[in-house]
Amino acid sequence: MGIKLKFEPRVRVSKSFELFVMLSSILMALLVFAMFMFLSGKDALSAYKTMFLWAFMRKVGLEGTLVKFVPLSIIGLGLVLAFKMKLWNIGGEGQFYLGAMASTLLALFLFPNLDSFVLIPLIVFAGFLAGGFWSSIAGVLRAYLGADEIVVTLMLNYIATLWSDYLVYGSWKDPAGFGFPMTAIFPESAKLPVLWGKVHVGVFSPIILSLLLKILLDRTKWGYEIRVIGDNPDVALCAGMNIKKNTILTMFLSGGMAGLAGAIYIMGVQHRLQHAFSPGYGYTAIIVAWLSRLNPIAVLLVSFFLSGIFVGCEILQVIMKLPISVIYIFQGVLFFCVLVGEVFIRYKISLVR
Amino acid sequence: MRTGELIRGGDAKAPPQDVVLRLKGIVKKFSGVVANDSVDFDLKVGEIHALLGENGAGKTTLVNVIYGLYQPDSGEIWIRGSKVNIDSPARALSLGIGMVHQSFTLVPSFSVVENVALGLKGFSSLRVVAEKVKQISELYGLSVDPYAKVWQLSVGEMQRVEIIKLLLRDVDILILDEPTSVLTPKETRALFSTLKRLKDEGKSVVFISHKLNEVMEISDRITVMRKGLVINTVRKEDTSPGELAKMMVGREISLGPSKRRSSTSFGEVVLEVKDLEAYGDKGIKVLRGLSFSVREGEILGIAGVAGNGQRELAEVLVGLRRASSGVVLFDGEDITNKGSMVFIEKGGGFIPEDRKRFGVAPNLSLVENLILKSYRKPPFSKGLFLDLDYANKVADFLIEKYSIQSPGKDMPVRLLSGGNLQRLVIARELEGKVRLLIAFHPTFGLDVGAMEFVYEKLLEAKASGTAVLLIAGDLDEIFTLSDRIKVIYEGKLYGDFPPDESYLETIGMLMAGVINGYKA
Ligand SMILES: Nc1ncnc2c1ncn2[C@@H]1O[C@H](COP(=O)(O)OP(=O)(O)OP(=O)(O)O)[C@@H](O)[C@H]1O
Ligand SMILES: [Mg+2]
Repeated sequence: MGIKLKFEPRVRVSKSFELFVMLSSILMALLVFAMFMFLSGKDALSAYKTMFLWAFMRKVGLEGTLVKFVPLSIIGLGLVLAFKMKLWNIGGEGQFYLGAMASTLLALFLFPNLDSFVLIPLIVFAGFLAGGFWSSIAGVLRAYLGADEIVVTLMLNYIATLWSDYLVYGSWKDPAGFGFPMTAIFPESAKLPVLWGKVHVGVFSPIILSLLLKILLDRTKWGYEIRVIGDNPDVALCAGMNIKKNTILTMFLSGGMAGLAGAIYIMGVQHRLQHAFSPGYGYTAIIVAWLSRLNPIAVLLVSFFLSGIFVGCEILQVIMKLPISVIYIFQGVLFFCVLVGEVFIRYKISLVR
Repeated sequence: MRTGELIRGGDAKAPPQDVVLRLKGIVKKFSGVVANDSVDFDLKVGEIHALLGENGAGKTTLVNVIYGLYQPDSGEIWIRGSKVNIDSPARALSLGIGMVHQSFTLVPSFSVVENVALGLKGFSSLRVVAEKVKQISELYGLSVDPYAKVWQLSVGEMQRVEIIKLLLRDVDILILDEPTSVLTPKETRALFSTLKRLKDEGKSVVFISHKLNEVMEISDRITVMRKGLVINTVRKEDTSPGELAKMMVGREISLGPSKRRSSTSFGEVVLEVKDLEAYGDKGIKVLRGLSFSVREGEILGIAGVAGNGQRELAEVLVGLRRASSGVVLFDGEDITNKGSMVFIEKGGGFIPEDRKRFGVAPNLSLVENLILKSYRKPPFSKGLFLDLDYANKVADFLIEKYSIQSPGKDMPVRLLSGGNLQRLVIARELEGKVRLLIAFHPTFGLDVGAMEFVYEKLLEAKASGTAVLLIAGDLDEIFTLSDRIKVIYEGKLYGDFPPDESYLETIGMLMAGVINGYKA
């Protein structure tokens, strides 16, 4: 008889083991990616060295890393919330777009003349509401009609990106923009104060939000309800919890965070709405939420690290003349490794004869 | 294939011919808890061997080891004279070992034959399989319609399908973990006669139960476990229920119905139900005009064969299912279709029939599961926040008071043994000021000691003025606890009897649907 793999469900998983598996999945992804580079005739080791140094040690690179870190982590936090209740919100991208669109509406068209200390909070709030509105569509459909939120949020992503394109190619197009699909630049009052290079004050928001989310989930009655409903909706019903209301609220807050990320991103970095302004933050955030095993604090670390890798990949394009698709390849490989890691976390795998 | 498992030159250690399964020194630990502590166990050819023990004694763990669901940390398993390594249920099946779990593994939308065919390696046609199902079911008295859809079957019938599935795969060691706890008395009878026939065919059965009278009736030998250890293996002829109970608990305990409480005077009406009607999951009207009331300090027992509307009645009362007509008054307030929140707020407690579904959130900790009904209000919460310190203190207290054994109060409750889960649910539902308790099979899966304990707690609750609606299939339980007894049959209530043995026959007849002029 040959050797077989045996999967035995794990009884309990320690935090340190989860961390170990998470780091190994990333390491594994880097290894596989190295092979890919090796096959295309590049020196993987020096490539990684370049990536790492650039993304975390050089000023410009680190700026880029931080710039990506902010939206990625905030959307990721929102997803963690929904995932805790087993609501599979994969519409972070669309909600992010909605936040950015609402911000643009306020900054350029409704209140361009307001003072920044009024306008910025207003935009932040509007972005939050817009993202929340977008995801609560899926929430309401799920609560009242039982519609699958995965499908609905995914569809809403397409609608959001196309709607945004409709605006930047149409009525919102900057008349002085040489026909490029983008709006005019925001007034100064709608730009976030810069801290350092491209890094804006929004960089603190993920840290605050992650602490708030941790408290919400672990310490509050509402967080408790979310965890109970996520674990066993029947017992939640029996305990008098309102599942419909919680579905909608949770989806709202989850999408609200993505919308907030959109507002911060557009006020802090882009300063205008334009065609395809997001390199898929909303999708990458799904990986972030998963890799961090729905732990709000881990979201910060994971998204910082991933942002670094993406910035590193960008520099690879420049230095090693690799095509932009390397980023997507890497993301794919990483996602795959994360899923494999998940299997290791769930099961004790042994070889038996 | 089986030669490879022969231990090299170790035939001297091999068990005698008539031992089909031998466990030697089986140890299984779970993060600190020793669930099985060098367990030795012999199963003879053609015997029914009962495993007995308190909740958490390690019975389920042991049979899971035999069935390949768990790997023992050390110890040997011998099957028919060869040492084997059972690393999966598939392997167990290939060795002729089959197990019937408490939660069944059938596809509800498939027919019986289709479900049976799913487990077979190769078969020519469904018709052939149906033939085989018929043969087997006639041979062993496992009556079931091969073409019925599984969702239409009663629990007892589903269990029969599971057994048929195993028998078709030529299993000769059959393991049943608490098979009778879900059965009606009549179904239990049928199961026992099946087991006897299996035995006559030379098959061997491992049977777990908490009911001493069942164990005394059906088994040839009995192995008693306590805290992971085997205390003794005895032949039925050489023992008595009293002795078994003593071995289980380690001290003398009183058996049989506890003293009947002196009839007290009852207070105000707490629960009043008028002309209640409701539909079941399949869209059929299952409650067809029920009226009754329960007073302070009174236990109203509802006897009946499972599936006559008990589950739906409980669900309507606690606010989980909508009533299509009629009213439910709780302390005079109309709570019909107001949801479970209102029921809880007014001081309702609910011990559900299916503790895994309605009783606990499996991945949350003991503490978090214990505050499930009380987290909304101080002192368990302050404003928007939970008071975890307080919750922990209360949890410590309840775990102690209800002797809930667990690997730790911060561990997920899915690690608890069946009986300990039940204790947790009871602890939660009985604490605090309970005005009305809906107790549905409250002693489901409990050992004798724990059963006594729950009876005591229910009587204490009653003494403190709680109104109790007791729904149970076990007539002993109904007679021991109730002040009044009604019978539920096809969604209607019949009679109103005092708990007097002289009514036993009448009640039994009503349960079987012999109405004889009794008015609903
Ligand atoms: N997977 C597990 N992880 C940790 N502890 C466990 C696990 N399974 C069982 N235990 C513990 O091992 C002990 C024995 O459990 P087991 O389920 O075998 O008891 P049991 O005899 O079947 O009890 P019951 O009559 O209540 O069903 C219990 O203390 C239980 O909490
Ligand atoms: Mg058990």
